[in-house]
Amino acid sequence: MAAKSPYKKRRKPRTIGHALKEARIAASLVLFIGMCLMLTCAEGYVAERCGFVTRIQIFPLALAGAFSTLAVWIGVTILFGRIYCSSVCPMGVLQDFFAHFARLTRRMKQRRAYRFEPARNKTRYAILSVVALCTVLGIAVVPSLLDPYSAFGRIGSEMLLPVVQWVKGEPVMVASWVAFGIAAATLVAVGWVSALRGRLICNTVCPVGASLSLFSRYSLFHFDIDTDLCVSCGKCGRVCKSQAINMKDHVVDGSRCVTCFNCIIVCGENAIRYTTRRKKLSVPLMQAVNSGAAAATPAVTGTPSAPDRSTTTPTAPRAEASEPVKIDRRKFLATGLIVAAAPALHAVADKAKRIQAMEREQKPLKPSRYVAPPGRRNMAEFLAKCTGCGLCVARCPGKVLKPSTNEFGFIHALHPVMKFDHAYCRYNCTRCTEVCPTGALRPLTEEEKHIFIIGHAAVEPANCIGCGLCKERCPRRAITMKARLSSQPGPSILLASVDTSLCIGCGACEYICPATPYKAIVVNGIV
Amino acid sequence: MAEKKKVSRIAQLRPVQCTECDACMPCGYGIDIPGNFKFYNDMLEAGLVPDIEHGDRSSAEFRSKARGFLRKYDRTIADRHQAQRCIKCFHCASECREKVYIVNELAALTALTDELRDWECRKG
Repeated sequence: MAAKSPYKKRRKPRTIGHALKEARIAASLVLFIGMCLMLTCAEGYVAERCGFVTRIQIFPLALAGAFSTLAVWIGVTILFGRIYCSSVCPMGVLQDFFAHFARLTRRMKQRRAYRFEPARNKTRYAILSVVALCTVLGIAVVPSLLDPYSAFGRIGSEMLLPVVQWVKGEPVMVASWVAFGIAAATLVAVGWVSALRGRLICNTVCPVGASLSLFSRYSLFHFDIDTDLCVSCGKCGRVCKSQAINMKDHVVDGSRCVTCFNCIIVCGENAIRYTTRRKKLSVPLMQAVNSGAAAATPAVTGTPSAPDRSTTTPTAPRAEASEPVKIDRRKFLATGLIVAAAPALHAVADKAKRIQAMEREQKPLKPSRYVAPPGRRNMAEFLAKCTGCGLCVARCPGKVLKPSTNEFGFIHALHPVMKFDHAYCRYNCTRCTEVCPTGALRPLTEEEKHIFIIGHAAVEPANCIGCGLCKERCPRRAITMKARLSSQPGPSILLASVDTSLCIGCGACEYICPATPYKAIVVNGIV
Repeated sequence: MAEKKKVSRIAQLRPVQCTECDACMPCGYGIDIPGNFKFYNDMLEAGLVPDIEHGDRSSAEFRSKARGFLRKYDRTIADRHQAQRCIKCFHCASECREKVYIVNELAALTALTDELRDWECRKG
């Protein structure tokens, strides 16, 4: 050591932090690529084994009611911090890409160095409450816009998939321009914010990040600054993409830290560590802590710290550090009560809806109700649980599924809807039910799919030309050609007639119907 | 029905004797009849038509052939002009100078693509 010049830049020796960071990067790359493959490639050895990536995403797990897996995630967060945000969440990894490429050169790193910012807890927990409320009330559009997995799924299925199709030489199809616009807007917003401010979205807007922050705040392993070793150089704060390292008080905000291990790497003194130890108070004046934490921590070094602490008690930074937590928790609990009361309100609203008179407005050649994909237990559950990630839309081999705009109502936008104009649901196909991670669609076997009724075909006699093509193409043999009655005027003597006891609403008839300008058969969805 | 199937050359994996004279056109239902036959003949000549009767469906050769056939079919012939749109009105039957059983051939091509599409979504 003595032989080396102290002015020469020396490489930091490898520590456990390097290994942790490399493991984090490797895991996030594998999962991110798996997610992309899942959204873009239906075939191939690797793509067929990527299904697990969507099965470990927190928001779909919560909707699917997979509480055991959720408990595992909560346990991991309590033990190790927000591992989910750092490497599993595809949107988080995408933001890391943007943040990384905005800081490639040394100049860019200096210009866009991160600074500590106080937590925006009010915004964060307000958004979390709103999302929770909307999820319970069934206003699916709010959680599906804000949930990181679904937002990334849309970017993948609406923007990445057409590019992949173009590269492969397949016909390029954008499923829906509205969904494309939403995906593009999300991508631009996420890219812009993350290039400038790192993980600001994760710590302000994201409902999953906000709910995990409740646990990671008290996580067992966390980042701790040893004030004995720290020289207050501020390097760790400049690389912290969560802007969570408060250099003045030497504390790392565990609720916002996404455990990226960047700070460990840059610290020349090994003062910041990923450890179970809580705030060693050898130099109390350098550090502001909650009175509870301070009281719980015995003075390790044996210095007369008690009087020191009492003298530091009324200082301003300490008050700042402890106050927002209390206010937010109270607010959070209050909103929780509202959330708990919501199902009762919902039931009352449902009852009021039921006694309203049924309004039937027959529009020619528009389905009276749009058709939802197979595998749903009931319509309400499908509408409430689907987050519009677009996985089923991307994986549908017939391209019959499209993201909805207003078909199921505005509040259920981006749900998959069956459009039979240019495609139909393949009789033996169960793809969409197999890939759905949220439980909105349950996996069906082939036999179950064959009798799963998603709608009923209805013939418009005035348009039917009696060609019998629908009868040919019906996989259930539900259509017969019958002689037209005198009360049914039309262009032909034959008329298709649907046996609704056999029809499952696959749309093969509507797709193939050659009648122009309007088709003569239409599939109406069922509740 | 079984006898008719034997007649169709597509089911036997033999080329259709179509000269693309367009005598059968226009089709009232929008089918590009010579286009469909030309596509099939070209694929057959290149050895890219999968054998759905006797082929081993789990083999890599069948997979690539089947996937390629469907992809190229959808790319070459638009959905509105594909063989499956045939309603068997037999308006083209008497027009063909080469005495191609157009309706049967189109039905056989439809059966082939239907089978492949079914295989495609069942596999996953």
